[in-house]
Amino acid sequence: MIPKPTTLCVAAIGSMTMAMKAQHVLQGRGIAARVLALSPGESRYGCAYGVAFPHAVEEAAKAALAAAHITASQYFTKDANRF
Amino acid sequence: MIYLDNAATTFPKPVCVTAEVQKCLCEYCGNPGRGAHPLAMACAERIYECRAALSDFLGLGAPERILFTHNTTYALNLALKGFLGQGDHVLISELEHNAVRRPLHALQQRLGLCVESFPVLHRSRTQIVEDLARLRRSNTAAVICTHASNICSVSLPLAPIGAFCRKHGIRFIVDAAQSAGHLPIDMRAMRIDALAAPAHKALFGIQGAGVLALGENFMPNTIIEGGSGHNSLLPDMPSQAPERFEAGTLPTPSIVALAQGLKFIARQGLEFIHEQERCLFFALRERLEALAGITIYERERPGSVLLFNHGKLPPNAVAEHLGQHDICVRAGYHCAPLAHAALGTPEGGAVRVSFGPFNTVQELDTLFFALREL
Repeated sequence: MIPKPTTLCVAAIGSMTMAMKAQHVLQGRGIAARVLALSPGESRYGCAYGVAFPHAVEEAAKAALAAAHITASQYFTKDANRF
Repeated sequence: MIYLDNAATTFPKPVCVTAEVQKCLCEYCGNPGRGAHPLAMACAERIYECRAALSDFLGLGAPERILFTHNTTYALNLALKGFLGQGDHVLISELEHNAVRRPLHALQQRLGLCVESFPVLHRSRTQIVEDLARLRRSNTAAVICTHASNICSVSLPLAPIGAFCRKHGIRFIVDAAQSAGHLPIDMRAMRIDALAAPAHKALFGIQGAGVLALGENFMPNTIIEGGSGHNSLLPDMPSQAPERFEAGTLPTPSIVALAQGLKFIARQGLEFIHEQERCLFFALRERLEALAGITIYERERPGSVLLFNHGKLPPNAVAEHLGQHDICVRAGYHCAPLAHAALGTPEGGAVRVSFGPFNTVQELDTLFFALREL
């Protein structure tokens, strides 16, 4: 049984559409990813969306997003168990 | 009932389309991009899938540059009013629908826009480009044209027109209301800056949604502002497409229906659909030409639309007679007076028959027998 990741990395993307695109890009690279709404403090201008993926593949995910010209305003980690 | 008005809207819809609308309304129709609860996310995923499918279908390569509007007319207004400015010069074809003509007329009144038309009937690809070169001015901002006429099966050569526009730094805006789902479109290869299309015609979606596809490096201004689902604290619309241009709630049932319509087209094959329409055109042309006094416009250009006039009765009388036989056609000017003028139709316009994938030759026989009564 594959253990669930304990730490997630979240890319703060902004719009739902770009967060969805980021999710699809990462999933296309075999990286488990899902869209989530960002909490207050995680987004600068109110409501926003990001994409979460396992912290262990952070570099690969960042590279995949950069290759797809998807910009994150910031990256931060989340405890998966509290997410 | 025999439905031959597919240029207005396709009917009936494929079963997969109506089934998905029902499923949407019963199972997942939240508000996409408004929250992250399961229903909103399920909805948002399907909206994105439709954007991605359309992006592939149109050769755009960027789902985020697929904008959803209420219809083609709204999409064209967004493209035109979002970037044309004071004193700009634009070139339009002689076949344009009022969805192009009227917004430009409004801009003529407000901004002093100069609108000039170029001929396309009986002009070769080379001649069309030569005409554009002749008409081009230093302040020519755009070429705006339909891909296919809504009153005959004439289509325009987008690739050479797009190449001409790109060479001279002119925006190329295309009305694909009558071509999306009939003819292949590749926005990048054709160098199209903006393309407008309806969900409810040959893409087999339902009414309520249209599409504006934006080419790379074309970002018009907004003409409508409102809630966008993110960056709520800012007074401006978001800077990025598509949310920048999609103020308010999207027509989710119409969009998911469109996604199913695209799957239907993929299963049928665009070439097969196009060939079927050509066969129906030839079949109807043969039958009409067996009747005395019928005039068929552009009879040598087969496709999904056939326009004709009866020798003795005005178009609306012919359409009314056919309606009494439960045959649906549209008579008049079809919101395209420029095109009717170019084709030389008389006062009252003409009768338009427009085919869809569910029409049969037997239905055209019924049409023939009904006309023979006149």
